[in-house]
Amino acid sequence: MKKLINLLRGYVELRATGAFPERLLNLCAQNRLQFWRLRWLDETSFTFRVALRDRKRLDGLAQRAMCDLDERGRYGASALAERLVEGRWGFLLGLGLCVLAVGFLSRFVLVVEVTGNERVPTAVILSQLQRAGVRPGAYGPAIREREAASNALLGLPELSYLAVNIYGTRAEIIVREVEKAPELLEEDVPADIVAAADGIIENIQTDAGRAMFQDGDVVAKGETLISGVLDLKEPEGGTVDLGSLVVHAAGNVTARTWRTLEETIPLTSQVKEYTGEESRSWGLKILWFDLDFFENSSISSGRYDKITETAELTLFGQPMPAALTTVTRRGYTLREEPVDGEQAAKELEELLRFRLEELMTARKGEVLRTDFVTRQEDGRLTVTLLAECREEIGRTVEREGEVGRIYGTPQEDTKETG
Amino acid sequence: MGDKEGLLARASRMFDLPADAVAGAARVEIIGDGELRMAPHRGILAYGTEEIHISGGKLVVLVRGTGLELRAMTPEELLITGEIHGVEFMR
Repeated sequence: MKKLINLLRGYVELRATGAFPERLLNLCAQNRLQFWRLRWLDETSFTFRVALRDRKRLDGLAQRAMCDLDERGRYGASALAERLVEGRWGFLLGLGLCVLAVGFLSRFVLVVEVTGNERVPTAVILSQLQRAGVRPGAYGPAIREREAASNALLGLPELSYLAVNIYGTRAEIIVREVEKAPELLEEDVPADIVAAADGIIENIQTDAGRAMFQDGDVVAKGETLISGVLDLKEPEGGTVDLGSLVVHAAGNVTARTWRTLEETIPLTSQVKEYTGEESRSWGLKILWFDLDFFENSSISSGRYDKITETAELTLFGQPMPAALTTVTRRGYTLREEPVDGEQAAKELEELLRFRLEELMTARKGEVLRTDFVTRQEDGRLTVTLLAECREEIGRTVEREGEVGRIYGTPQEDTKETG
Repeated sequence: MGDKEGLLARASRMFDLPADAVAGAARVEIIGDGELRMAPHRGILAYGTEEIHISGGKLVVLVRGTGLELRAMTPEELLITGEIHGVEFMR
């Protein structure tokens, strides 16, 4: 244990030479200067070890004992550190500056992490936070977390909760999105269900109101399928007008429909032909500084492609607030070229199919059969999609007035004469 | 000074008191044959691996042995280790 302590503290091995070298030992003892590993070499000299910190004090004692000291080596951690530092003031200064820089820079926010969002894009939240002062490069201690969170939340109505936590160089943003409020059935507003498309009714279910059609009936777009007005003439064929009851019609109407979608494109297209002219410029973004250190935009023609590539610096997978941006400009001219009709038709068919699928998703329907018709006229290619679908065609259309009973005009009593 | 020490030594003998406490006489403690402690001392007079001379004031303590080593030394006390063959007191 003592050896280990001596090694950590550092020690120096010396050779003392003099007429009466034992005097030096006595002086060391009197001055409480610890020594160890004493080896007598001859009548006039011996070697011994002292702690590195006592080395200077020993010189004075050796002088008093009229002994010469010859240093044979320095050992231990302190000695090693002493050797490392000796004559390396530049290194030490650099090290000190590094420590200071790390200490200072670690107070700046380098990474902003957003968690808890699904519908609201992270970029939107980051943009709002930036306005509230939370961004890479911001001075961490200057950010008032609660205030920043409140300010950011004001500009993000899609969020119900936002918290800003600063952990050193990392800003953690925890968000909660607002729950989408269920669509309320406005029963106080009179409404009808009308057909959103032509079709043959397959199934009509009425929750409120009066069905105007039956299964198998053909309906045209705009016709009222379920009326919100209920006539109160009872019994059937009765002559007494009891008025009517106005309600908010509700129900589902599934019908077989035929959809026609069309897309057209010209049979020639403009194709880019690169002239070979190219220029590049580089930019460096560090924290909030943008540096454009080389600009060479020598494209003479008016048309050019601008390709921007950004390489973000990452550390252990985390993006750092430093990025190198390369902007390449490539000059080109436009040339007319005929379009491959077959390929273009396929692409248009794909596009129409996609449009139909989107439509059916919105209408909660399904596609039963599709047919494509392609024609070329006046230098244009037209593709028509004819589709047979099964879909929900009922659409709620509100009407003027209020729900409730409307009283009919009183009927005059008629006297039958015979 | 010498008379005073002699007087104190005689007094300690007369009153059956420990001489090291009353007269300041050197106390030499030997543990087995490998360790010798002496307190107080007046310093090393001669040093070697086979013989060490320690000043104890009125007398000199001569430690004989092999592989002798001065392990620790303070103004009051010193510790010698090694194989001790004999201790001799010289006036």
